[in-house]
Amino acid sequence: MKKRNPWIGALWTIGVVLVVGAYSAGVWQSTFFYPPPGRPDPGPVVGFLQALADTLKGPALLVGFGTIAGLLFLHARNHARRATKKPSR
Amino acid sequence: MNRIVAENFDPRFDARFQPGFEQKAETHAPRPPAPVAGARDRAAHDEAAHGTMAPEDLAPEEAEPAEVGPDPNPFERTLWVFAAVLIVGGVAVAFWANGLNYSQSAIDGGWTWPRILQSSGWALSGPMVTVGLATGVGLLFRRAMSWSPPE
Repeated sequence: MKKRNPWIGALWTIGVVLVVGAYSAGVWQSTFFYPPPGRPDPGPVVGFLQALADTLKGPALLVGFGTIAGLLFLHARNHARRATKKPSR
Repeated sequence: MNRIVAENFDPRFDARFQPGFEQKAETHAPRPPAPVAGARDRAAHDEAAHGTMAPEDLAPEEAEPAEVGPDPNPFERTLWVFAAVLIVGGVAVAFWANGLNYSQSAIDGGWTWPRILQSSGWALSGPMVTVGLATGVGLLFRRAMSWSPPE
C-alpha cells in the first residue's frame, strides 16, 4: 500500500483551518461593529478575542490561501514527476 | 606497538608487505608505519589500481559520508524561532498600538513620538504576522518535499 506524506496532510489541515477560521473570526467580529442600543458590554475576554481576531484574520487568510495554492503547486510537481517516470504508451 | 615494530622494518617499503607485520584488531585501524614517500605512493597506487584499498585508506572526500539524522540544518531552527518571534511580536505590537489609542488624545499633540510609534506598530503588525505564519508553513513545506516513505 502506498504511504501518504503526513506533512502534506498536515499542511492541508493548516490551510483549510486558517481560511475557515479567519473567515469565521471576521464574521464574528463584524457583529460587534454596530451594537444596538442597550446591548451590554461584552467584557474583557471577548474584547481581547475581538482584538486578536482583528489582528490575525488578514494574515491568516493570506497564508491559508497561500498554503492551499502551494499545495496545489506541490501536487502538480509530483504529478509531473510521476508522468515523466512512467514509460510512454 | 606498531611504532616499535616499524623500527624493525625496512623503511624503503610498505611495512604491510614485510614479514612480521601484524594488523591490530582495533576499530580505528592503525596506519602502517610511514615508509619513505616513494614506497608509500607506489603501494597506494597499486592498491587503488587493484581495488583492494581499505575504506579508511581513502581520502576523506572519497569515503562515503556517515549516515546522520534528518538533515541537521542549523538554519531550520533559526527559522522556527524567527517565525514564532514574528507571530508573537506582531500580535503584541498590534495590542500595544491599540492600547495606546485610549491613553492619549487624538485631537491635540500632532505628530508626537508615541503617535509615530503607534502608526509604525499598526503598519508592521500585519506583515509581521503574515511573514511569521508563512515562514512556519514554508518550513512544513520543506519537510513535506524532503519526506520519503519508510521502507
